[in-house]
Amino acid sequence: MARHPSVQRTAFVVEDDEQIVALLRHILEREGLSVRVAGDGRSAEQLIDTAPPPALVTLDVMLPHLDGFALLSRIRARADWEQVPVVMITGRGEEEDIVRGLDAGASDYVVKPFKPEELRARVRRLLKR
Amino acid sequence: MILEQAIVVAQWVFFAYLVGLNTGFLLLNVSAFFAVRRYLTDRVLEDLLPIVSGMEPPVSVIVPAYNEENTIATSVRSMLQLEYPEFEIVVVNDGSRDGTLEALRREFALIPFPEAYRRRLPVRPVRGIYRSLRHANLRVIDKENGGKADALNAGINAARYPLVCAVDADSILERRSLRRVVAPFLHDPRMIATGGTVRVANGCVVRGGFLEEVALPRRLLPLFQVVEYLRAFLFGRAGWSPLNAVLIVSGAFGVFRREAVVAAGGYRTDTVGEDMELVVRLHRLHRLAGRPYRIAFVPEPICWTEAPESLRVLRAQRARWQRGLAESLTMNLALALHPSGGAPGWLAIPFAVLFEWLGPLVEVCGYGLLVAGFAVGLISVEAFAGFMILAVGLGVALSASALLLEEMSFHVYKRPRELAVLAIFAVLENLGYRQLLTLWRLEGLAHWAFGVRVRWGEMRRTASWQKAF
Amino acid sequence: MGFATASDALIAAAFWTGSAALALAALLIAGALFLRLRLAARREHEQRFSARWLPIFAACTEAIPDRLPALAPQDGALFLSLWVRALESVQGATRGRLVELAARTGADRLAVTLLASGDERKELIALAALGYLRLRSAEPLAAALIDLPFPLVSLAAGQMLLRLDASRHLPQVIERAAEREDWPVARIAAMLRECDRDAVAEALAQALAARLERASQAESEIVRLLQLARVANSALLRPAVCRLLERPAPAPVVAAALAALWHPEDAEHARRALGHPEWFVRVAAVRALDRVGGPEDRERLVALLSDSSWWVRYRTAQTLARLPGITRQALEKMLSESSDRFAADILAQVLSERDAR
Repeated sequence: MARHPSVQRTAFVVEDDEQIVALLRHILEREGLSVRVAGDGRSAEQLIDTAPPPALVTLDVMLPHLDGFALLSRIRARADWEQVPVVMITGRGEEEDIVRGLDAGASDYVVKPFKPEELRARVRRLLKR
Repeated sequence: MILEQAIVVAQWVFFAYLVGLNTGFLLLNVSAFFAVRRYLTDRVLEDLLPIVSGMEPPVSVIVPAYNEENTIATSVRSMLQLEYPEFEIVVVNDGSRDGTLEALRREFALIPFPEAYRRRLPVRPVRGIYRSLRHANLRVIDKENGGKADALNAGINAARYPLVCAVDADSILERRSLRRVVAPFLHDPRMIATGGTVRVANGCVVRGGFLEEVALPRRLLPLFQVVEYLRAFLFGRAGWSPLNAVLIVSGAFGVFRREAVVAAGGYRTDTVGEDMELVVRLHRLHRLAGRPYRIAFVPEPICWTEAPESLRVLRAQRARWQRGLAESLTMNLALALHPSGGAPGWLAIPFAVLFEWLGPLVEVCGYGLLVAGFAVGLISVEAFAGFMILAVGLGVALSASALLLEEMSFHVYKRPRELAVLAIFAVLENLGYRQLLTLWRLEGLAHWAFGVRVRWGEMRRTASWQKAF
Repeated sequence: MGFATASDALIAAAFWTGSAALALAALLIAGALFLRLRLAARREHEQRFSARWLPIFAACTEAIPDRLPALAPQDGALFLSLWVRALESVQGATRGRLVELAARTGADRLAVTLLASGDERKELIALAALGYLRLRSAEPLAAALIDLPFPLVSLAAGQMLLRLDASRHLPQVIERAAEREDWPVARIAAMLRECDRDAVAEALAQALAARLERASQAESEIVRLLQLARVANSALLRPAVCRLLERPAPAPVVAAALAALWHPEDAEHARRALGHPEWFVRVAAVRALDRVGGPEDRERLVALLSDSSWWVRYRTAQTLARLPGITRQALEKMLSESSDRFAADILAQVLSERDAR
C-alpha cells in the first residue's frame, strides 16, 4: 500500500472524554500532526477498518461500546497498521490494564492524570521510530 | 328508587376512589421529584469525587434461563462486559427443554466443576455445575426445572459474593448499570436491596446485548407501555424510596444482600410475583424484628426490557402481574397496620391494597355502573360526561406529570419529535389503553381468587433486538 | 329527591375536578416542552462554552495564553466544573498554570460567591474547585460547612479542607469520618487516598487510640476507622490495630481489625482468631493469614478445612492453595489423603478454580 506523506502525519485519538481530547489535540498538533477523533469504540472500529494507517494512535481503555483492548487487537490484526505506534491511556488504579495493553501490542502507555511534558516526550520518541 | 340510590352511592364511592387514588399519586409525585433531584445532586458529587474502585463489594450476578438457546450467549457475553471491579456470573439453566445448556457450552467452553455446593436454600436437584475455560468468573448451574424463583435460589446458594444481582436473561443493560444499582450499598451499610428504573427496549438499538441508542418504538402497543413505564417507575417506586417503602424491585434487575435473602428464606416458589413478594417479605421481617434496614430505588434508567407487542401476550403478562401483586400482599399482610409497620405497613401496603390490588374491581364496577346506568337512562348525559372527564382528566394529569419529571431529570429520549410523541401518548393512553389494562388486571385478580395455575416462561419473546446484533 | 341534588353536586364536582386536571395536564406538558427547549439552548451554550475554554486549558500545558475571553459571572459554575476536570486530568506544572488561569479570569472569586449561593449543586462544584485554588480566605467557610447535616456538602467541604492543607485538617476530618454515618466509607477512602499515607495513618491511629478504652461503646466508629485503615496500610497503624486485637472486643471489631492486618510479624493475632466462635471472624482470620501467613500455618489451615461454616472452609482452601511453597502435587496429595468429606469437596473445588485462572 502506497503511503501518502500527508496521511503519514495524521494521529487518531480514540477517547470519549472531551477534556482529554482537547489536551491530546493540543499536544499532538504541536508535534505537527493533524488529529482525527473517535469518541467511542464503534466509530473507532470504523476508522480502523476504513482509514489508511496514521502516524500514531492514542487509545483510551474504557470506551463506550468496545474497549481499548478489542480495538488494539483489531489494529494489530491489520497488516498495514501493524507498525503504527499505539499509546494506551489508562485511568489510575488500572495497573493491570497496562500489562494487558503492552502484552497485546501497545507501544507505550500513559496513566491519567498525566504530565503533558512526559506525554509529549513519549510521542516524539514514537514518531522518530 | 333503590337502584337509583345504589347508583348515587356507587358514584360517590367511585368519585372518592378516583380522588383518593390521584391525591395519593400526586403526593408520591412530589416525593419522587425530591428523590430524583437528590439523586441528580449526588451524581454531581460522584463526578467531582468519584468513589475509588476497591471499596465496592463484589457481586454475584445470577441469570436464570429457561429455554433461551437463541439469546443466552449474547446476554451472558454482554454481562461479562459490565463495568465493575469484581463480579461473577452464575447462569442457572432451569431444566430448559431446548439447547440452552449446549449453547452455553459451545460459546464459553464449559467444563464440569467439582463445586462443594451448599443447599442453604432448598432447591430442585442440581444436575451439574460447570465453569468456563474462557472466563474465570463464569459458572453455569444445570438443574431440574423448578421455576424462576427456584432457579434464583439455586444461584444464591452458589453465590460467592456478599451481594447478589438477579437479572433476567433478556434484560438489556448498560455497562455502568451494575455500578449504578450497587451505589446505594456504598452509601448506606444498612442497605439490603436496590432496584433500578426499567424502561421499554422496543425501538432501541441494541448491539451485542448492550443498549446503544435509545429510541421510541414505532408500534402502538409498546408506545403506550413506554408512557406507562415512565409513570410506574418514577412515582410508583421513586416516590416511595425516600420513605423506605419501596415494595417492588423488578425481577429484571435488582441487587440484594445475600445474607438478608438467605435469612428470609430466599424466593418463594409458590407465587408468580416472586420478585415483589421477596421485597415485601424483607420489609415485613425487618420491620417486625425491629432491625434497621434500607431498600432503595435508583431512579436512573439502567435496565431495558422488551415489552410485549401483541395484545394476547400483554394480557397474560398483566394478569400475571396482578396475581403476583395479590399474592405478595396477602402473604405478608401481617405487616399492614402493624404497630411497628412503619411507612411500608401504614402507607405503602394499604395504598397498594386499596388502589392496586382491589383497584381493578372498583374501577370496572365504577365504569360498568356508569355505562349501564347511562344505557338504561338512570344516569344523565351530564353525569356520564362529568365522570368521564374526571377519570380521563386525572389520568392525563398523572401521565403528564411523569413526562415532566422525566424531562426534568434524565431526558433519555433525545429527539424533540420523540417528546412530542410521548406527550400525545400521555393523553391517548387514558382513552382505552388503561381501561383495557384494568380489565386484564381484574382477570388476574380472578385467577388469583379462583386459583388458576400460571407458569413462568409463558411470555413469548420475539427477540427482535437480537437481530440487530 | 335529596339524592338528586347530592348527585348534582357530585356531577359538578366531578366535572370541575376533571377539567382542572385536564388544564393541569396541559400546563405540565407545556412545561415539559418548555424544559426541552431550554435544555437545547443550555446544551448549545455549554458546547460553545467548552469549545472556547477547553483549548485554553489545553494550551496551559505550555503557557497561559496572553489574551483570555471574559468570564461572565453566570458561567461561574460551568467554568469551574470544566476547570476541575481539566486540572484533574493533568499533573505537574500545568496544574499551577491552571490555578493562575483561574485567578486571572476571576474564577477564584466566583467560586467563593458560589459557596454561599444556596444551590447545593453549585456549592459542590465550588468546594471541589476551592480545594485546588488554595484560597486561604475560603477556609473558615468550608470549616463551617463540614458540620452541616447534609452529607454531600459536608463531605465535599471535608475534601476541600484536605486538599487545602491535609496535615492541618486530617485529624478533624478523620474524627468526622468515624462519627458521621451519613458519610459513605468508600467516599472518605477516595479523599484520603489523595493525602500522604503516613499522615492519614497517624490521624487514624490517634482516632483509634482515643476509642481503644471503650471498644464496646464505640464499636461502629472503630469498625469505620479500621475500614479506612486499609487505605493507609502503614507501620504507624500497626500498634493501634494490634492493641485492639490483644484485648477482648466485639466480634465485628475483631473482624475489621483482622482485615487491617498486613505485616507478617502480626500473623500471631490472626492465628489466635482462627478459633473464634463467630464464623465471620474466622473467615477474616483466614483471609488475614492469606496476606501475612507462611508455610508454618499449613497444619492450622488443614484443620480448618473441616470447619462447620462453608465460607471458612472455602477461604481456608483458597489460602492453602496460595501458601508459599505449596505445589499442586501437595494439594492433590492432601485431597487424596483427606478423610473428611467437607475438606475433600472444598479442596477439589479450589483446585479446579486454580486451574481456571
